[in-house]
Amino acid sequence: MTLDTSTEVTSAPPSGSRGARARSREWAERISRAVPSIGLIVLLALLWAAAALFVPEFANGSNLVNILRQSADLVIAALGVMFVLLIGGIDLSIGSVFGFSSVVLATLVFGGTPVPLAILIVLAVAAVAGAVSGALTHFGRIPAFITTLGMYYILFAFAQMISNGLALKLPPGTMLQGLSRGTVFGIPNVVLVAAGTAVVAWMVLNRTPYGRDVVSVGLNRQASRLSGLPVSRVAVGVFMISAVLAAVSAILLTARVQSGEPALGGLTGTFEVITAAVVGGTSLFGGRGTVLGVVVGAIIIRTIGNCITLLDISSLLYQTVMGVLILIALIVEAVRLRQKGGVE
Amino acid sequence: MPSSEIETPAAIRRRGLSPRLANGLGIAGAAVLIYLLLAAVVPYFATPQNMTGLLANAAIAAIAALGLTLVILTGGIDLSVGGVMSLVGLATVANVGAGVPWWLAMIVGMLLGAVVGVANGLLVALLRVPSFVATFGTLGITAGAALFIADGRPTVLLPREMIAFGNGSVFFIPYLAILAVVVLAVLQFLQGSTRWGVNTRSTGDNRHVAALVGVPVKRTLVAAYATSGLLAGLAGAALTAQLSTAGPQQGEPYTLAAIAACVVGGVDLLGGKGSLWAACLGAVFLAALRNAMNLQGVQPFTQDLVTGLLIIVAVFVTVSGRGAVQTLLGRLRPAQEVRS
Amino acid sequence: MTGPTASAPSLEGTAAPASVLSAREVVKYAYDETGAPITGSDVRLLKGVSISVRPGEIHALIGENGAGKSTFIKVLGGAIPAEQGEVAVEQQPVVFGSSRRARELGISVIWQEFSLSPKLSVLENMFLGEEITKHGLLDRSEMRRRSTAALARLGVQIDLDRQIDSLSTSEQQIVEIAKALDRDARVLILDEPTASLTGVEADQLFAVVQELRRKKLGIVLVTHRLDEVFEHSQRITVMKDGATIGTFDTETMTRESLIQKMVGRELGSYFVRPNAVAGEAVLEVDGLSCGRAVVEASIVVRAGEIVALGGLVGAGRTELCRLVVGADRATAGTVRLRGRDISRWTLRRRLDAGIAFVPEDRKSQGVVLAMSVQRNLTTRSWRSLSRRGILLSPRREQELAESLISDLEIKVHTPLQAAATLSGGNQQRVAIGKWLVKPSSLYIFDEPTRGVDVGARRALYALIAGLVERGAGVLMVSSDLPEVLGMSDRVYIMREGRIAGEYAAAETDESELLRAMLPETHAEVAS
Repeated sequence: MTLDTSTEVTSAPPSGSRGARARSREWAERISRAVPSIGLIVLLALLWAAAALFVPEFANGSNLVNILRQSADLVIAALGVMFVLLIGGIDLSIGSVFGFSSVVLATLVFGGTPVPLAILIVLAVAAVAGAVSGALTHFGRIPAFITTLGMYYILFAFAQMISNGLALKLPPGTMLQGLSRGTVFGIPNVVLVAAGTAVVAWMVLNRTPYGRDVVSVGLNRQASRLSGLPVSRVAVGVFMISAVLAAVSAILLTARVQSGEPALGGLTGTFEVITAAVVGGTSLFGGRGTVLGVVVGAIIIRTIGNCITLLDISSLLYQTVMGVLILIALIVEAVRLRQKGGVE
Repeated sequence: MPSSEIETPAAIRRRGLSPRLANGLGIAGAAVLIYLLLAAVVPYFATPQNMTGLLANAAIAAIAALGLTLVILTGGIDLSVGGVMSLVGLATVANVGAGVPWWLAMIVGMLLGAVVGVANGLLVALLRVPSFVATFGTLGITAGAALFIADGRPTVLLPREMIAFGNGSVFFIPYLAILAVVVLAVLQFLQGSTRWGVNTRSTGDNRHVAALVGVPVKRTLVAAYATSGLLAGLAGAALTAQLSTAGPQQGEPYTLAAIAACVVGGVDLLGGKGSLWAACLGAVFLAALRNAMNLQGVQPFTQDLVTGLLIIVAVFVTVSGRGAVQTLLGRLRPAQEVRS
Repeated sequence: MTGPTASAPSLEGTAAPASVLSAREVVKYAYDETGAPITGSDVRLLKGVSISVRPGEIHALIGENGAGKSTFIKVLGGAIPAEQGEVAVEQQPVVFGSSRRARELGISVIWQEFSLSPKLSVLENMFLGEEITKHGLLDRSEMRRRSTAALARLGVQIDLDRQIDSLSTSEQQIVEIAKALDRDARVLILDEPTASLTGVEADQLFAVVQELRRKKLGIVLVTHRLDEVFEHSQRITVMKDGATIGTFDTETMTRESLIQKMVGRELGSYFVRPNAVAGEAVLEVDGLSCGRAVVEASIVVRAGEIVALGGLVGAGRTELCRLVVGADRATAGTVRLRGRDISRWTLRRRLDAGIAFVPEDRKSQGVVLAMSVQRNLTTRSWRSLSRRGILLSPRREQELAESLISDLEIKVHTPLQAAATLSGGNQQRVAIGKWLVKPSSLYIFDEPTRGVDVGARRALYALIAGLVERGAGVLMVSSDLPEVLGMSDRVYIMREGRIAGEYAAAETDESELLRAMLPETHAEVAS
C-alpha cells in the first residue's frame, strides 16, 4: 500500500476563501437549476407572440384572461399528478376522479347538502380513492399504472352508477355559481384558486419536510429509507394529493358547467393532465419537477387549445397535438438523462 | 460414460409436473369449471347462438391480447392498443370507401398498426422511456387522430363481404374466432420454434443476462411492440367488420380488455413468463363473464367495475405469489428495495 | 511499492509444461460503473499480478478480502480491460475486447452471479444467444444432444426442461460449466464456486471439476476454503494488496504457511485511537437470526468503544447490521439499545431512538447522489429545522449544512452542488455527516473506508474516534485487517452467518483473525 498522501480529485479553494467566490458559485448553481423553468416561460412567451401575430382575436385582453381562466383547473390537477411523478409513479385514474367527483358533488348539492360540506365530502372521498391506489401500489407492489388504471375503471363505474350515466343539473343560485363566475378585483375566482393551490404546492414542495421527503424518495428510495425518511407515508400520500387536487379541479369544472357530469375527464382528461405536468418539465423517471414549470406547462397546453378553437380547426386535433407534445417532452428528457448517464 | 444422477433432497421434492404444464392445466381446468358453472346458473348461456356471439367478441380481444402478450413477456406494457384499434378502424373504412378491396384494407390497417408499434418499440428500446409512458403517449396520438379523422362521428360504409366476415360463422364457429386461432397458431409457431421466442422471454426475464450472452435485446423489444401494433391493427379492422361501422372511440375499451385477458391468463407483468394460449383463454373467460352478466341484466357500468377489480385482484395474486417466494429468498439474502 | 513483504511477482513454473493461460504484470486502475479507468486517483486495484495456468491442473487463487482476486479474474475473463500487462492464451498474447471474445478463445468464467435466465429452461439457457438453427428453425434435437453430451462429459444428468430457478445452486453451476464445455473451453475460472453450497453439493461440484482436470482443462479456483485448496489443487497463487505474492506447489505448503503468506499487510501509522474508556452496554444483540444469512448472532457494543466486525465477504456482517437497524426483519433473537428491547421496532423508530447507520454501498444507499450536499446533510433534521414541524427555515438549514461542511472539512464549491459531484471520501463524509446533527448512542459503519483515498481515510478515522470520545458506541464492519486491528478495541469475527470468535484487538494478530474467518470444512446445512 502506498502511503503518499494523495490529493483529492476535486480540488477546492482553501477553506479561508469562502465568500465572494462561494456565493457566486451558489448563484450559478441556483440559476442553472432555474434554466428549465425559464426556458418554459420563454417558450410560452414565444407561443403567445406567435399566436398574437397569426391567430386573429388572440391578442385581446378578454381572450388572455379567458386562457388563464381555462388553465385554472388543469394547473391544479397537474400539480397533483406532479407529486406522483416525482416519486417515479403515474396516476392514470385522474380522468375518472373528475367525473366521479363531479357526480358526487352534484348529487350531494342536489340532495340539499350545504355546498361547503359537500365539497369536503368530495375531497375526503377522493383522498380515500387515492389512498387505496397508493397502498396497493406501495404495499401490494403492483405497478402504479395497473392500480390506477383499475381505479380509473372502478371510479368510472361508480360515477355511471350514481348518475345513471346522465348529467345532473345543479340547482341555481348555490355558491358554486358564484365560485365559478365571480371575480376579485377583476381577477376570476378560479384563477385565484389555482394561484393559491400553486403557492401552497410550492410551499409544500420547497419549504416543508414532507416535500423534501418526496423529492428524496423520488431520487433514491433505498437511501431515503435507510436515512429514516417515512417512505410509506410519501408513497401513499402522493396518490392522495393527486386525487384530492383532481377533485378540486373537478369541483371548479362542475361549477363552471353547473352540472354533475359523469363523463367529465375520461382517459383524455388523464392524458391532458399528465401532458401538462410533463411539458412542464416533470421527469417521468422521478425526482425532478417544479411548481412553476407545471403551471407554465398547463398554460401552454390551454393556449394551444385556445388557438385551435380560434383558428376554427377541429377541436378534435387537440388530443393528437398533446400526444405529440408528450412524446417530444419525453424525448428531450431521455436525451438529457442519457447525456448525464442517468438512466438505468 | 459414468453418470451419477444429481439427486439432492430438494430436487426430489421438486419433481413431478413441469411448472409450465401444471400452470397450463390449472388454467384450462379452471376455464372448464367456470364454463360448467355459468352454463348451469345462467339461462341461455350455453345455447349455440350465444356461444357464437361470445366467441366472436372474445376473438377480437384475444387477437389484441396475443400481441400484448409478447410485449408483457419482454417486461413492458402497451397501452396504445385501444387507440390503434380506433384509428385502424377508421382508416379501413376510408380505404374501402376509396375503392380498396376490403381484405387489402385490413392488411393496410395492420401495417398502420405496426408503424405505431415500431415507434413504441424505438422509444422503449433506444430512448429507454418506460413503456407505460411511451405507449400512453402514442395512445393519445392515435386516439386523438381517430377523433380528428372521424370528426367525432362514426362512419358507415362497408362492403357486404366484410360485414359477413365480421359476423358470419361456420358450424357455429365465427370466422373471427377462426382468425384468432390462426393468429395464435402462427404466433405460437414463431415463438416456439424460432429464436424469437427465447429472445423475447429472456429479454423480459433478465435483460442484463440476455444482453450479456448476446441476445439482441433492442431488436427483440422493437419486434414485440411492432407485433403488438400489427395485431392491434388486425383487431381494429376485425372490430370494424363486426360492428360494420368505425367509431372514433370504439377501440378504447380494448386496452383494458387486452390487459385483463393477459393478466387473467397468468402472463407475468414483470416479464419472462406467460403463454399465448392462456392469454386467449383469458379473453374467452372475460367475454364469457361479460356475456353472463349481460344475460343476467347486470348494468354495463357494473361490468366495468368487475373488470377493474378483476385486474387488480389477478395482478395481486400473481404478485403476492411471487412475494411469498421473495420472502423466502429474503431469509437468505438481504431484501432489495423494489422500485416500481 | 514500499511494503517489505510485497515481493516481486514470482513466475516460477512458467517453464514447463506450457501454460494454457498466463498473465504477466497486470495493472488495473480503479474503475467506475461503466468500466472506465479512474485516473488521477492513487487507488490501484491491481499493481502487477501474474499467473500461469497449465492444462490439467487445478490452480487455486487465494488472498484476503480486497486482495484483488475478483478484479483479476474479471481481467482474465475479458469483462474489464487492464491498463498494463499482458495476457496470453497458449503463449499467444491476446487482448480480450469482451467476455464473449474471451469465451471464443476458450476462457470461461463461472461467476458467483450466474449468467442464466432464471425463468427459462436448462436447454434454453444452454444456448441462449447462440441457438442452433436449421432453416431458421430451432434445432431442438441437436441442442438437446449437445447439452446431454456436455452434461455427460461432466458425469451428470439434469432434466433439460426444468426451469433454471427450480435447480439447486450447484446444479445451476453445473449448467454453466456444461455451457462452457460445449463451447470448447480450455480454461475454466471458478469464482468462489462453493460459497453457497452445502457439503454434498460441493462434493458433486468437485467430482465434475476433477473430471475436467483429467480432460486436460486448466482450472482456476478462487476460494476461501483452504481445505478445498489442499484437497483439490496442484498449485496455489497467493494475492495480497493487488499484487501476487507468489505461486507455490500445493504439496510444499501447509495451512499455516499459506495463512502467513496471505497476511502481513502493512500497518499504517494513520489510525487514530480514541481516548475513551468503555462504559455501559449500548447495544446488546442476543441470538439474532435470519435464515442462513445470520445464525444466532450475539454481540455487545459498549459506550466509548469501537467494536469491529470482521469476516469474509458474504459471512453475514452487512446482514447483521441491517437486522440491528431494522432494515430487514429477523426471524429470531433480540436487540437491545441502552437496555430497551427494540426488536419489534420499525427501522425509523430505531434510528430516531439513537442508532446511526452508514451503509456500505455509498452511492446507492448512503447518499442521494442527485440531491444537493446541503439536503443530504440535513436529511435527518428537516423536521427539527421547521417551525412546529411544518415550515422549514431555509436560512437555518443552510447554516446547519455550512457548519457541518466546515466541521467535516467537506470540499465543496457550494452546499447546493449535487452530492454526485464529490469525490468518494467527501461523499462518505456527507453520508456520515447527516448523523452528526443529533448525537446517536450507536454508530454502525459498514466498510467506512472502502473506495476512499488514503489521504481521506485518516480524516474518517479521526471522525470515528471523535464519536467514541463523546460517549457513543461504534460498530464497524471492515474487511481490512490492519484497519480492524488499528482502530478497534474488540473484534468479532463472523463466519457463515455465525459469530465465530471474539478477540481483544490488543491481544490478537492478523493471522489469528484470518484463521477464524476461513471456513474449516463445508457447512453442513440442513434444508
